Amino acid sequence: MIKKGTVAKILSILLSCMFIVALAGCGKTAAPAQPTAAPTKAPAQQGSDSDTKTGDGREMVGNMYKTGTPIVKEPVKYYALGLQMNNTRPSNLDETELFKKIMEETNVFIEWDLIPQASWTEKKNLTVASGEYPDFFYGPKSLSHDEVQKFGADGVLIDIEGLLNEYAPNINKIRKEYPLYDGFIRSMDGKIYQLASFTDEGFDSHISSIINKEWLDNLGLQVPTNTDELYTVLKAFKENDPNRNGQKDEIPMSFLYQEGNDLNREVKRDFRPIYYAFGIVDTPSYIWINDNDEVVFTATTEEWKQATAYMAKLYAEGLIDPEVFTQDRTLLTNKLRTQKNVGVYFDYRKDLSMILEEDQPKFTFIPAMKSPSGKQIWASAASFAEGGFAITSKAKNPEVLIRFIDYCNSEEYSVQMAFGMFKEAGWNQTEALIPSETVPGKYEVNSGLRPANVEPSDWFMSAPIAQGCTLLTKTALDKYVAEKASSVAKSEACAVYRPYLSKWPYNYAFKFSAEELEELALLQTDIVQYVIQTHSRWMSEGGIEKEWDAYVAHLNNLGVQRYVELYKTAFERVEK
Amino acid sequence: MRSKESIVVSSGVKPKANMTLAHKIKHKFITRGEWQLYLLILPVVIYFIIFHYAPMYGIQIAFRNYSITKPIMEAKWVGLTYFERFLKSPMFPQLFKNTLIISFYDLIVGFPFPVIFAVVLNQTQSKRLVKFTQTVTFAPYFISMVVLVGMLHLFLSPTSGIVNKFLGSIGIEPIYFMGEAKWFRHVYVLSHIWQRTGYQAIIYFAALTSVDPGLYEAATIDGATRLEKIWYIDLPSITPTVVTMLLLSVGRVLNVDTQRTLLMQAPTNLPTSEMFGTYVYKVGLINAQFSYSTAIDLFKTFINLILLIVTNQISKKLTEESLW
Amino acid sequence: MRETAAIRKIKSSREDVLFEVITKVLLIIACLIVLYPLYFIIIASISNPDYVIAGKLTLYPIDVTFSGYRRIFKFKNLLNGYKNSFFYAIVGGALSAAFTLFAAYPLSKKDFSGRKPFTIFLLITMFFQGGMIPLYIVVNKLGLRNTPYVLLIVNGIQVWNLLVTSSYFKSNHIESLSEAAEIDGCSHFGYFFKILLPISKPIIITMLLFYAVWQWNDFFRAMIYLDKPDYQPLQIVLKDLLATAQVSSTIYDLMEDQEALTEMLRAAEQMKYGVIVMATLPMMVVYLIMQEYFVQGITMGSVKG
Repeated sequence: MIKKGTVAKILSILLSCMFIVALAGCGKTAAPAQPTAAPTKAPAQQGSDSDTKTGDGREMVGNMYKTGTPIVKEPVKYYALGLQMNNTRPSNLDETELFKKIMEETNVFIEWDLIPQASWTEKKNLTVASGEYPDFFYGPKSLSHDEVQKFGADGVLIDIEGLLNEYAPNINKIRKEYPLYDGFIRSMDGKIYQLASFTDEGFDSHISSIINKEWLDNLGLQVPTNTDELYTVLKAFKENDPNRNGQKDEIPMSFLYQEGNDLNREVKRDFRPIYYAFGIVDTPSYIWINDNDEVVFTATTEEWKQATAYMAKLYAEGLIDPEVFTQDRTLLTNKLRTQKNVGVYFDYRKDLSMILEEDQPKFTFIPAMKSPSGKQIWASAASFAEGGFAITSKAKNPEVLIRFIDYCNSEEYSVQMAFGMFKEAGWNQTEALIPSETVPGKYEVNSGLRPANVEPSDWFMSAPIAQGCTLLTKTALDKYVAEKASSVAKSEACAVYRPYLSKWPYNYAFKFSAEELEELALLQTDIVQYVIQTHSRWMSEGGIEKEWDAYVAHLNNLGVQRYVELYKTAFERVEK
Repeated sequence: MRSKESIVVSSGVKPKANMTLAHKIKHKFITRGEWQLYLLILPVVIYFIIFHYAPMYGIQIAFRNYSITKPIMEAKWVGLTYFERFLKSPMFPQLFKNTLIISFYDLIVGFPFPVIFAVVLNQTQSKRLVKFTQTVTFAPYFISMVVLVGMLHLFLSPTSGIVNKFLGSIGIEPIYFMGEAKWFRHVYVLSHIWQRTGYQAIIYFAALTSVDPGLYEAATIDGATRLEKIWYIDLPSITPTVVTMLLLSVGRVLNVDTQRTLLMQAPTNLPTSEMFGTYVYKVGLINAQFSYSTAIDLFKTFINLILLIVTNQISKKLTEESLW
Repeated sequence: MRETAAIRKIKSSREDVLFEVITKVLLIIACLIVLYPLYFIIIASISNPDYVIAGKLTLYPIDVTFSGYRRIFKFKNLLNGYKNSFFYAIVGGALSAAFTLFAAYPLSKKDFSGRKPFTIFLLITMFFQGGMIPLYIVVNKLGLRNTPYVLLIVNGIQVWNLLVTSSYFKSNHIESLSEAAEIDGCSHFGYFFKILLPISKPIIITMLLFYAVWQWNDFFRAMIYLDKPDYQPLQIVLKDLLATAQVSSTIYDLMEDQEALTEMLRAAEQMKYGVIVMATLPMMVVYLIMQEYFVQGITMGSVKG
């Protein structure tokens, strides 16, 4: 006897099964491709890839010329997907004046689709997972190293080394000029699937320590050169009312313990310079390659322990802003610009831009400090941004794209891609490079000349600026651009720290295989979160001496040896 | 009261005991008009089949080593690997404890508020007050999480927040609400209650307004006090709704809002604020492992399901109301 | 000695007054607790953010400026966002509510043969989901991406609402009505449309409201399924607006104009609050209108006692 209601149950299960089977089967077949490179007419030549087909004097390969412009005889179209950083406009690069010009000149037309930062990760994953990925990915940090490797290994991205060697003279020149570049873009399997963008202004460190000189002068103190002096200065800031307003409302030292907007929290730990003073370069992953080429886990070293004890002492005596663990950059900026009650802070922007222009003369950089135990050291930083340009298997005639990106990166164009187009003097309609009044023959960036009645949000960008795959070398930069005021400040800051730079950049790009990465992700999350928890607790509540041994033991349980081993393997694979 | 479209045979026709099953089905389905019920529910069923059951094969991701570059069905089958990995993780006890405590705190403390609020709201005679209160308490639901947490930071700041300034004026030292581990749960739950009580009360209020006023009149004649009226009329009228809402809430109890938690997390409150969701998010930042996160989701679902089944049975016995 | 009716009446009216006072006080307290942060948002949206962030804003707006709102109103996609969101809220809300009500009725009838299987069928979907990727593939294959329909359909019916509505239909006074109607020979359709729905105004309104509010607030689905701006709802437009105003590190690096930078920082902060006001006001108006329908004492008419 069949029970009541079973019929309906069976029916629904059957229907569901049908659908599951149908769609599961669909999972195997390739999803329909997006409209991609479609030469609008058939190539004029009898089509094949062999060389030496001539058309108006230049060698051709199929529809493409091997040198010069236009790049292709018949116009072609490609589709690109990229990451749009917050606060950049326009969202479609094909609308910028620079790209319009380049596309006309090259006859290669590209439709860019820039996705806002907030939805980029999901969007990127979905396009790949559903098989509908673009002809190429574009824009700095569109893809992480690991994604580049994974996509490359699984055939979503193609190997472009051969094409680069053959068709990209500008880029090849740059590769020679920057010997570390190839190593950066090369994946674990030895192939090159991406280009990295960079703007080389000669900034080789990523953080500075800044102190309120006016307060020092008011108290008759000198800029501290070591951690003991820093302690004295901070105490004086707290007790002796250096801003002379009759109240002890000064915050001796403030910084961002962590940073990130919305949900993209990154633990940047802007107070790293304190650790540098103790001789250790603290990094977000707690892995550092010291000057002896050894891969070290920083958070169990003696230097780290001393530095942390020092921080705890400062916090306990009220010398550090109690809110450092939760404040965001907006609040810190407010304290610096509006409330003006901070004595020492750290900024990873290398210059004084967090301070109001009129107050900047009151601040100065603290040189690399020493500590009783450590030697002076400062972290060097690499400035390549990965994922700038990666061609997928969907692109037809990828050599055309290589020629295109190479064309965009001639000295002349790379400068304009980064700062705006060359315009005549007095141009103030968009970002641009206008002839410098002080240095004849060079240009300067005109963003200081925005007319007062134009809202900053209406200041239209004529070039990709922060969003381009731009390889701007120092040579090209120096050739065309007179140094910006802020660049001068940044250069000064970097000069302060240059004598002590570590050998290896603190943001060295380790390359892992997919299996290694899977293991690493868990180890890293557990270890890093545990250190963060413990470190922040020690800083705010003390207890480091008592708990140190148990802490190290726990880290061993969490697999810290294996963690270092993975990094060591990745490092030695490339550098040894 | 006869409906003109009455299709049904006159009442009183009961299936005879010796009807065959086919006859019984036909009788119920066609003659008693049950097909109409099936028709009413059909669109919804079709919707769920297409948009919920069809994609369900994706659950396999938890049992396969899935990467977005290949279709799900081509990923290697690994069985319970990810579940084991998660359960054996040294972080698991802390995550489980934190998730569990906050979920139940939120449920047990947060659940009665909308009910009580609706009952109290229903009592007042002043129509203007009702309207005003309803409108005002409705608004917090629309405040985005980012702004809400931003305001929490602002109001609860140990140096410049009004709450601490007020505490200072009555002689209490400033409390770092958003930073201290022991305050995290309270801030989380209380702000959550603040935000959604007014909105959730709407459903209870709707149930209360459909109570026959004749019942109140009868009760007044019988000399019932206001409290007695609430106890004997109001509460029973919303019991089915309350029970349903409670059961459904139990069914998703462990699904703590990850975005909200991430916004409220600070390094110093990690011991109480790290949950399944935030942990998985952080792992995913390093290596986008869908399989791992899907496995953890399934684990959460499993626990939710067990809790729901148990609570459903209890509810059946106690109140005769249940989800199934 | 038994109390006379008169004494009982006096006692009860005294009790009534006390009760009413307590109720009023409780509600006013609730209002104040809720009201302050809302009020704060409003004054923060027109105050100089430097003071807001420093914690100086308490009861009065400081250094009033409308530049945040000016910037919001200038955003070209704003009107489109409102238009789309109203469409989704009204049409989507109505469709979802309608189908929810239709389906909730059979689920509320104890003798419906499909009741238990369908309830389980639905509950399973509350617990088990295939994830974002398979759903995306399905939506893609159906060609719904970048259409005005995708937001109406995806997640358009929610089991939670179905079950709550169903429990409403199940409540006592409605059961007795339905029995009476059955005896009179009313068909299911007839009963549902002619009797049940008219007396179920509160739940209809509630469902309309819940779905409309959900459509209005939700941005995740739009983020995934709508790339082109044509059909984007208000929340996405506002998010875009805030994103374009946010001062990211790259902008700090690029901007020479310190004054412009300062202004950008300020506007970004102010807009955060202004955006909330812009997004919330329409819904408040809608809600005020809907409250008319939450009238006490919907008469039952045919069934008494």
